[in-house]
Amino acid sequence: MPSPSIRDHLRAACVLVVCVALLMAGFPGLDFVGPKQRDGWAETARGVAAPLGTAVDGVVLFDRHLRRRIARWVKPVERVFRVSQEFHLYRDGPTRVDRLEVLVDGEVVYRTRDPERAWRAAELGNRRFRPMVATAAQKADAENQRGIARWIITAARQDFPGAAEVVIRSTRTRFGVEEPWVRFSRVARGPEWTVSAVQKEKAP
Amino acid sequence: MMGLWRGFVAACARPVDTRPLAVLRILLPLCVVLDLARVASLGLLDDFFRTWEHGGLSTFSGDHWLLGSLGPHAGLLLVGVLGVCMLLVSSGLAVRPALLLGVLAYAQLGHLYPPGDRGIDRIIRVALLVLLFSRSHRRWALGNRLGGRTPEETEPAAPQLVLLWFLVLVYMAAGTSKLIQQPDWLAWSGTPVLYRVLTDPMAGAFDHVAWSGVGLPFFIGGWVTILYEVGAPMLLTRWRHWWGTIGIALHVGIALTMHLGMFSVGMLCLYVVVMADAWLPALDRWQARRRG
Repeated sequence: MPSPSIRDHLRAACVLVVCVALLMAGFPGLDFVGPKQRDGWAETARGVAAPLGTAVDGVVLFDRHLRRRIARWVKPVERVFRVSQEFHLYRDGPTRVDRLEVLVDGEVVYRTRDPERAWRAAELGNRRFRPMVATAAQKADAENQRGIARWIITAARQDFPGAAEVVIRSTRTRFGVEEPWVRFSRVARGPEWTVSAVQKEKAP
Repeated sequence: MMGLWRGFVAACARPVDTRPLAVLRILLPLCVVLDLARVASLGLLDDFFRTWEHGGLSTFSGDHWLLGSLGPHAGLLLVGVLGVCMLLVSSGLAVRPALLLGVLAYAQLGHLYPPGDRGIDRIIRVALLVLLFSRSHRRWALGNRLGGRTPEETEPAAPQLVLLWFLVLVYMAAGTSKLIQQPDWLAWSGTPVLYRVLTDPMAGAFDHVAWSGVGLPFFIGGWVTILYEVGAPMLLTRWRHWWGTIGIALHVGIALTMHLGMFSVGMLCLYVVVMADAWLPALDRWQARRRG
């Protein structure tokens, strides 16, 4: 085998730097665990066996003094190309079934994933739109509420020109249970179409 | 130590076939273009890619959205730039400048409308950046024909190694974060986590009432998901194409059971590299048979 050239060494050095940078920026497990949880682990490990506690302490030190520093150096590159290395894809499903509903003059025209109430469902289900719909259905005080409300009311006024009232509401139910209850809603009425504050309902 | 380093240098310099990354270079930009075309066909470009002040959907943009001074059409301009760049990359014309400019435009669109910039977008951008350092533009590329260049049949393994390493980190991060947040992924009683994921009306395709009594398929699906994600270092071994078949099944399953847009298709494009040891010999045999 011929001995590697300077170019080969340089290439390998670059690969090593990139691989270490990727690892440190998104170290599986450590990227997700907060300081409190880490300390809790160390405590638990010490309770099981002293060497195990020492090992966890070592991981904590590595994380605090080396990994996070290197990850900070990588951040500017991550921002330019928007390639944050924290990949927590689909950690968990929700604990309740939340849906967004749109009512025009009292009639439900849209309900999340309901083929019979599918007004503008293609738009609201688009992968870039869906995260906003999801947070708007889950959190009454979500920042996305304003954007969703503005979009829905504008679209409803286009598609239902004679409409007098649009209600956007979130419903919730437990998994496996048919009947949902209304958690919160916002109302807009013509001709001003100003959106009301969020009205929260009591859970049954 | 020197022996280890020499081994690593040799692994990075080892000549490998350029076709896997060339196919990736062709397919991945097409995913981006089709995704944008879908947004355009729904009439959502203005909603996604304008700031709140200019009538956009999101009330906030990222701190690194830099083109606000270009006015309300800056986002649409970027969509155009990204689309043209991706088509150039896919066709094999001016690939490297188009990759760099395209990834920067793609990133700016993400900063402009953060809620719509998902994990798959970041994964695609990283893969495109890896292609920037490969010789994929010298195989199955229009640039070769127009410039009268001879196609390059091999390239150093370095870009493919980086891509595989990146995939390992992505899967392991996904797997460990699942386990840390929700150890019930490995449970065999109670409500399966995968049932909740696949019946969540926001993304899942199943009805939560109709499927509420079914446990086993969801438990098994959950275990396989965790096994595959945490066992992702197998992708760095010579058994990667065997391990990759589980990944392909996983992503086809996600495509059939969840509504996640281009996520599955984008991820499956990366398996062109993972599965190279399986499809390249098959393609060579097929071509040899055709030549007689």
